[in-house]
Amino acid sequence: MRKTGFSDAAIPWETPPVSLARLRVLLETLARLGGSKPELAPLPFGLPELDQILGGGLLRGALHEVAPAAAGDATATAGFCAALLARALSGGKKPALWVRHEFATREDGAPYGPGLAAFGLDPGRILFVLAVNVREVLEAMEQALRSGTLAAVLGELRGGSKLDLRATRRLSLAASHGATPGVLLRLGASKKSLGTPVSAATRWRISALASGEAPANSLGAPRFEAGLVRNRRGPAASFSLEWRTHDRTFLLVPALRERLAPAALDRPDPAPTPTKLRASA
Amino acid sequence: MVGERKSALRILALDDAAAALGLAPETALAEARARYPLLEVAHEDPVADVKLLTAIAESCRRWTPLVSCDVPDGIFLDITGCAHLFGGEMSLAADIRERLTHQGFHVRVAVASTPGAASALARYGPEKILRAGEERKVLAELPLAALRLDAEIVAALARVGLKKIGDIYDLPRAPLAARFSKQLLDQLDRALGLLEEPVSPGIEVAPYMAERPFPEPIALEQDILRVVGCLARQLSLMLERRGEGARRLELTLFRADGAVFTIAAGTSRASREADALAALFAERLDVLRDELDPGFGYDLVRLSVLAAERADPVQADLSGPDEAAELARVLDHIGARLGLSRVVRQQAYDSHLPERAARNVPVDRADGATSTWGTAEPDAPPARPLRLLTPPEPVEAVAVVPDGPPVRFRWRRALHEVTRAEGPERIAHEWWQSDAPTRDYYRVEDKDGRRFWLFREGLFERETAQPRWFLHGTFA
Repeated sequence: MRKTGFSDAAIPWETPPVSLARLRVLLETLARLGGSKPELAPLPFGLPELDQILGGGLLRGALHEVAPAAAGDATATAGFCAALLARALSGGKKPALWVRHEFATREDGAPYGPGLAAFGLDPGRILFVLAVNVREVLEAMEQALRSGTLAAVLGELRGGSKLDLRATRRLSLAASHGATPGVLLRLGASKKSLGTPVSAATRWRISALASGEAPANSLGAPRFEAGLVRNRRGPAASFSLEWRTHDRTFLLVPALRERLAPAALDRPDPAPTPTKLRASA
Repeated sequence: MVGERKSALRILALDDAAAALGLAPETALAEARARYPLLEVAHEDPVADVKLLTAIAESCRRWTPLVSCDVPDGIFLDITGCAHLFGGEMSLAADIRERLTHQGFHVRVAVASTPGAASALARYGPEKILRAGEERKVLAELPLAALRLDAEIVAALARVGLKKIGDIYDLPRAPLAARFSKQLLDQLDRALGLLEEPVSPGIEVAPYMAERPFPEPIALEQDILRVVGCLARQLSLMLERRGEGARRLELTLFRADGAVFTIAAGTSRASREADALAALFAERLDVLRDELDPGFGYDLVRLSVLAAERADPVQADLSGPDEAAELARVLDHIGARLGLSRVVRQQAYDSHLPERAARNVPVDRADGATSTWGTAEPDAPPARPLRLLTPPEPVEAVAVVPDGPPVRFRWRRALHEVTRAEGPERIAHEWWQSDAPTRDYYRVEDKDGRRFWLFREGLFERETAQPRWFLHGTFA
């Protein structure tokens, strides 16, 4: 049982038929003790289909885990995270923090200013922290999330088998304390370590998607296949998204092939039936 | 202790027991061994000696910030204006002697108004405190070697019968200088205070400093933090008086047995908030916990500001907490743990070369960018990759024509079939930087939708016959 901060005496256990009025009082007490804050508007994707199952968008005071579906999708996944940062930045004046992991820099390359700018993310509003190991990444993320002075905190990890429920719960608590969305970009994590439960409001698996129609066999706008494999506030689902860099919006891509979301790995119960979504073309 | 002198191992220093046997420095080791075969001998290690001397000098900073080493065996302390803090020169000298003796060193302390005179007294004369003006009389009785002269000069002087410093006082100066070099007279004048000789401290002297000694050493981290908090408040007042804020700070912990720990911290913008400054060291101490060994505890804690900058007070905004200040505080906290140079911004730099177009600048040194970033264009996919590989990684690529885009390439053992390609974008090196070959960049997409930024190094037939391919970055 979870520990709560009040003594048993406050709860009228001894009167067996608990009346509705008493329950209400009890709930109020619990809410007060829990110190729940007025909830901030979530960070919308701007797609009604997606925002609906997320309950309005990505929760701001929570942690979101994003990982590539296959090893080669690392940059597509980083792109999805960069798009989330760009959307988080567009609302206000606060900067965002990108915690880099030296190992990830060596394996996948370093976030590149001109590339970020071309992607719709202003590098002038991003602060980078260069962390040497996983521990430093988590420490820096926690401090940044807790402070509430940033629009979003992105922490990238390469490997990170040590990432467990306890570490991520700390981050989640820090995120809710600072009402800042935290994005955990997990690169190169093994299937097994991605299967272990983490304390995240949503878990995403991203893979690259071939460009749409473009003249002269050239490249089109960036596209992702975003699999929402765990969603605390709704069902799991999978979306084909296109990122429009200039106005920082997502578009639903008419599905070329239908995909079902894989069952959530970190849940004993089977995931609810995935919602099939398709843009009304 | 022995070392090689005049092409033989000779005794350089010996302990009391060896001296009692009648051995003396300069004796050849072979000779000493012949007399006493059981001598315990250690070889000299000048590097370790200097290291030890530096460590002792470091621990002497408890008495004055102006400390310099006089290799091989001396330390100068400039105690001008410090002595009264320790109850006068007499008790200061006693304190120095007592502390260093307790640490197991054989120490001789002398106080004089010139470094030359103090050094002469400490090495050759009576250990005493010399009043200003007494130098001439006291030094007269000391041997000439006490003037820190080269050995040859001392030997040459001895040959003509000049042994004591007093012997040369009244001799005509010009012939002395001509015969024994000017060094002799300079050193004499320095010892007598006729020539200035500053004690040069090995390190920069902090403009602000606050310290607290403890009769009973403290060891607990929370005690140290409390002291740091007090010291930070003192410093904060000093900084406020001069309208400055601290950028670089140093905490010095003097352990009771003479070891000294210094812990540095920095701020991303000039600050004089005592709590914020103290919090930096809370982070540092947390990180360094394993390296700091409090042992018997610290008996002096000093907080110094090494670099300060003008910091004008800012009128607090009524609309809420100052977000910029809050952010600076968070960055300082992260910086205190990881090092402030690892909290960076990317700045655009005006260069066509991709690897030079962006650079990381630590936030505490970030200034106005020299160049601006481009913006995303509608209906055009990004022309630059999201992640850049440094250095570019060689790939095996196959192209249909030697100057066309690749049709497939192998990177890190995985084969990628190119389905779409755009290019080339030709980028030449800046001619004044290097004459490396021109690069032709292609943006390509493989059949899984993954996107890469490849370049071919060297123009076919004009610069090279066998162009090599590299992967320089990946697109989202």
